[in-house]
Amino acid sequence: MNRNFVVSLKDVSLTYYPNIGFFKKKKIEALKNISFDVSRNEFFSIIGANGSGKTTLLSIVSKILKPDKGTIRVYGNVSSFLGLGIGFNPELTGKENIFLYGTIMGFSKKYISSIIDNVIDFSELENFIDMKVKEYSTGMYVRLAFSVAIFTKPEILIIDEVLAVGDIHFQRKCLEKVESLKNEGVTILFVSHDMGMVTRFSDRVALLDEGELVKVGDPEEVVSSYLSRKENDPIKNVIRRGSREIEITDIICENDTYSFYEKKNISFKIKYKKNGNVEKAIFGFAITDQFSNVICGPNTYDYEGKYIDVKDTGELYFSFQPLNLNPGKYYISVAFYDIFNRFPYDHIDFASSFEIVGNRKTHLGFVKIPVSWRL
Amino acid sequence: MINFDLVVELIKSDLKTKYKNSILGFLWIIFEPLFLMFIIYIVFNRFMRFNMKNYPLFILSGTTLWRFFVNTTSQSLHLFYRNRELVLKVKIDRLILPLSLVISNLIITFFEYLIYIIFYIIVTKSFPLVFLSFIPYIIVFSFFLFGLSTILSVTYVFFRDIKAGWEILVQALFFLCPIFYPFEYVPYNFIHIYLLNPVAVYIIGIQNILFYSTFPDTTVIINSLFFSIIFSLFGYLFFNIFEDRMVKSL
Repeated sequence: MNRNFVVSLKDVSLTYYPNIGFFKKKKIEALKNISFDVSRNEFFSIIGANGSGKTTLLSIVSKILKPDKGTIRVYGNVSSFLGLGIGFNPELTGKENIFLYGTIMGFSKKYISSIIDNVIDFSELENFIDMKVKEYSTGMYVRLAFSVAIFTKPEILIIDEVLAVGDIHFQRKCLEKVESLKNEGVTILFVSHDMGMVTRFSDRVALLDEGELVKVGDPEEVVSSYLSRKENDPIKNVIRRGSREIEITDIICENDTYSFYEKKNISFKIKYKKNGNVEKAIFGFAITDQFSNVICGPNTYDYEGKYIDVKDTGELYFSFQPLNLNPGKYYISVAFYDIFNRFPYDHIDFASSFEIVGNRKTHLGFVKIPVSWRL
Repeated sequence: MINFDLVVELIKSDLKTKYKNSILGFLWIIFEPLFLMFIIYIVFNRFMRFNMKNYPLFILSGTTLWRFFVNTTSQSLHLFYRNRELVLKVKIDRLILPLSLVISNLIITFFEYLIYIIFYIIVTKSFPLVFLSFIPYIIVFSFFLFGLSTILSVTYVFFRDIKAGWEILVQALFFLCPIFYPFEYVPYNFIHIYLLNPVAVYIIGIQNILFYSTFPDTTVIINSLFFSIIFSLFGYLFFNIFEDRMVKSL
């Protein structure tokens, strides 16, 4: 049978009723009348701010949640990763967790026994496989989980931000795997905050805002309309992660304008407060383009060999010269990381933006480097 | 269709965490009742001079089932909260959670009764064949626990108060079960009300088998089966009615 659509949603709505006490009733309309179709073998991404309903939407397609209203049709078997390593028991060894997690993913015991060597191989954790998972680093944990997960044989694959963790080498390996699945004809539904990844891989992108479907279409177009929306709403709707043990409360551009010529200094002031017991941290910022491609990312440790002494509330300043940056619009990410520069306390992408103006014609790329030609 | 591989893995994972990390591990299953018997012997036979033959064995036969009941139901309250990730992020048959909780406690209880039987043989130098019927009997009891745990775990998501209420109820039920006193002490006029407490019925049943070494009489058998069928059916229906609402409240 040849169907054009493998996933089809029509007027799907869902409301949550978080339990906050017997007499206080609260409701959150997570999805409002969502309709869209996904074609066979399409790479379909869903973007939107935190709390816009992306995960809920994926849960509905995965048949984990039932919509209150509307119909959903899914043709084909679905594997969904709304989180990696769900149900892992930290007290068990890596190997034992492969069996546990595998059965949670719906594999039979026989199938797991037949793939276990390949799983361990892919995870590159041979030496740690008999160690308890609670002794694993976050990266190892993710590697183990993903290595089990890739052995599903789905027709429709649903991925919620799980690729955002782990080291670069492993991330690339996972992306290759996802791409090869796509080449084998798998339909992929993908949620990510990484706009670079979204534009690079997607055939179509859907933009959600507070449970409403704002736009579906060409990746670059939808991504840019998402990013331009966010600008009117500074620190609230940005892409943000971290434990918030240090919380950035404000980011202020010290200059009176957001448009600059390349030789002028651009200064920012950051206000933060401390929520947890943190004494030292690394502060850094990055200049990115609209697709989160990092152009440069200085931090206090790499540039100055210094940590920040974290106060209960504090301010700090940084300024830079956008020397050689080509005209265009740029975004600033700011972040506090732990002293090993591994875990974010607070990491905000697209926290602010500035524009480089110049009477030069547009150049290819981000920077103009000194070049000598011999013609 | 229930994924039995998953049930097995969840039980294994639960039992391994319970016993793997302690130095004595599974041996605790022996030490716990041994210690309890010792204390009961000191307190009731030496201090209070309570006059009943093999009284420590009598108490152990009841408390073992009682612990099965208390542990399972109290663990069931947080069940869906503790496993939110599994409930909200993976497509599994969610009844597997109370099911594996009950089976995992059933396995522990089975071993505890094996230890009990060894004590019994040492003390009385006899092994009545009727003892073997304790296995089907605790399985019947598990059906009751499965229904009750399912109801409790779903209700807890909506009303946290049920935890405090349940703890009080359990304490009251303890005294309303013939654990420290034999069932014969209950006055005749109260027997019918007394037997409305399902846990009391099951405890009488297990004491008949494992302490008095007689097969429970028909009333006890019928009542036990009745409570098991009613509770497990009701729990199953209750879950199906409220599953969707529960998931959205988690």
